Amino acid sequence: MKKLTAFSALSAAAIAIPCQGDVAPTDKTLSYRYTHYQEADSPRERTFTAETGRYQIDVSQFGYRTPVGDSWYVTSELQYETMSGASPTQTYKNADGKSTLVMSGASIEENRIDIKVAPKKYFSEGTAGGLLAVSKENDYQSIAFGLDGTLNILDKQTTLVGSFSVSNDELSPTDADLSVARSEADGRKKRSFSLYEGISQVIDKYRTLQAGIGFTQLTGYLSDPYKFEDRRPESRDQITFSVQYKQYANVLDGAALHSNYRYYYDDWGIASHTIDLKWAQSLNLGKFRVIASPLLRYYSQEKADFYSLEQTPVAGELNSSDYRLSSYGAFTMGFTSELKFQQWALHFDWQQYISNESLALFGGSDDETPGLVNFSTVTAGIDYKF
Amino acid sequence: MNNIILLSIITSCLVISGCSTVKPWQRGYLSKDVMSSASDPLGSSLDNHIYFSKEGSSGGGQAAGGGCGCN
Amino acid sequence: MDFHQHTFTAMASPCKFLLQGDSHHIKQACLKAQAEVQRIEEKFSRYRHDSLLQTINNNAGIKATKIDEETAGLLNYAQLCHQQSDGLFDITSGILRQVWDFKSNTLPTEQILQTLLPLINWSSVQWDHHSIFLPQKKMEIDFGGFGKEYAADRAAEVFQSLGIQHGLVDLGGDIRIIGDKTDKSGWDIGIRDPQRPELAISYVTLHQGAMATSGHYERFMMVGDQRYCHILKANTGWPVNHWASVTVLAPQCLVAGSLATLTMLAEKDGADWLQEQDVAFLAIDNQGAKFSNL
Repeated sequence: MKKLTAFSALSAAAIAIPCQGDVAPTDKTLSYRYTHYQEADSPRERTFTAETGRYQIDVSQFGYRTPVGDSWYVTSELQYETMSGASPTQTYKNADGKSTLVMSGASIEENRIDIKVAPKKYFSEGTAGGLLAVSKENDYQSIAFGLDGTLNILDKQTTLVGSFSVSNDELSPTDADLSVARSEADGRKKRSFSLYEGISQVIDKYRTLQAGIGFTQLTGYLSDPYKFEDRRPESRDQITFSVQYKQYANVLDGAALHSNYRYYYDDWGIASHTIDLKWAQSLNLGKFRVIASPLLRYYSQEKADFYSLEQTPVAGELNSSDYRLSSYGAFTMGFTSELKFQQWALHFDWQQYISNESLALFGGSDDETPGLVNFSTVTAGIDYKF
Repeated sequence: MNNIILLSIITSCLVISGCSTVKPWQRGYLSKDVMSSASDPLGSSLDNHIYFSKEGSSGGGQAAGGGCGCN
Repeated sequence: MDFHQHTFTAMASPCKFLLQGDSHHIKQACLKAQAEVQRIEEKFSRYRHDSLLQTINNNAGIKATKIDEETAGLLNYAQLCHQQSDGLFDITSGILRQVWDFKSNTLPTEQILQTLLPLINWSSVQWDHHSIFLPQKKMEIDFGGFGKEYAADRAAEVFQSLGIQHGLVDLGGDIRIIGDKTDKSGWDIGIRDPQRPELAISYVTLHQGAMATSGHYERFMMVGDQRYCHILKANTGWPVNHWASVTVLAPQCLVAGSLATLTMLAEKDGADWLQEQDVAFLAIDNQGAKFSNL
């Protein structure tokens, strides 16, 4: 073994001197992202009407992050979406036992605007932050408020993480007189209350682990007024357990493996597993630095108790044929990439999502779910630091 | 509820058990940008929004954002 | 591409940033990097009564002082230097400055040196990454042995983080390259001739990394024919007396500077020690003989 020289010992100690304690970032950053989200057409042979085109969404995001005073840092975001296309209104099993998908008729065009502001204060022992978010569509509006904090304990080996948020949404379906469901939903509220508690642990020089428990309670009008025969409970309790493991790897100019697992269940009978993996690879290319990150995600859920494909279910009983409440599995693959040059960073991301009842890990059935969506997203963006 | 208790036990074991002490000045690698979970807040905000509107379950992140009437 | 030069005075030395690139952006970056140098100077100044360093020293023999991670990291670094030099490098030795006045041309008496030596004892300092306690009154620490080199590294990192890729930081002769020249021809850096410090005895071309020099010409006095320089051995309280200057090239300025100082302190044994380190160096002894692998 090579003798540890003073040079190598001192170099290692010098590299490791941290600049300062827990301090707020000092850079201002302006960001823009454009994303095109495109859903694949629904399968013609399972679609009742000739309309098979589904959603496409153009998303513009503007971000601004800035320090305020010595210890505050404010993150803000404005997101503007233009959606067009059709969505499933019902899925039912026909006389032959085949699933039939009914799509909303005419292609609709809608906008959504979403504004978030999140100030954070940095202390020597942790951080305390807040969040205010407002989202507005012509048929839905939402306002959310949150508080979050971190506390470093045990020589900063361990960080306790907690957050709390509430939201208050109001529905105002378009053409409310078109259906009983829409007129009943008009003016109804949906409220949520969320808690998250987590603990983050430094394992060694290269690895960290975070585990957390989340609880969310939704109350109010939780059905979908645009779907047929959609009657859901007026409350929903959701619990999540999540674990995040990160490991640094000395590969080329530095890399890191990010892995997450989440278990979810709620009192509608839905349980799900999510696992995602990302490899973030840094590369120095002369004047440029690139961070390229391939990613893979697998998701599987079991259906809600009241999910059914009855064309005319018993009136007044809970029922939904929403594909999002069925048993299915889904894969995402994609990558994110960032090219850094001086104060600029260019982003290019791509993702492909495919979901199918046959990909379900548990609780699969022979029923087809033609409403399940396949989509892709392509993002281009730019950041400017000053 | 058993799950909650189990998870609490696992996490407290993590804290107590001998995770080798990593002094603050030995955290150079942990603070590299490739290790950051929050390096692209706009990207993760949109990902969360999409999965929130297209899947039957959501949550597990630290701060819930605004809802939407997406379908 | 044009060169931009930004000069200022900090840490009692002439400081210079030499850069290539978009001039408007460079000006802003220079101010940020200068602010970083000044931040370090203020935090670890011996002369400002409100600096963290002064607070630590004022609390000597009384109570522990809370420190942050940066300070702890520097203390850890100082501890390694202490170990690697078998105690010759000791950040508690700054107290010797009280009796070594290089403007006076008079030597301190052995008797007065003996009264100070018990106060030089890094091993007795109680510290961890939250706090430090100097166990005896009048004990003091200072980062004069590497503060400037550390600041050069930090300033270069500020430039790098702002996307500046071509330039160098020069804090009183301690050089850290931010990045090669745009034409990749390297930066030509002169090494002072210890006999005539205004002249260069040699040049090196640096594309990256850092260079630092420790020399007997920086602060000294002549008493009789004998030169007494400012690099003092912690075990005796007397100046080193073998090398005229030692220049070391290393990726970090902090490390280059410490290797140079530790070589000065090791005196004759420094030659072998430096050769073991696998770094480029130029050492010149008091007789003017060059010892180098450049």
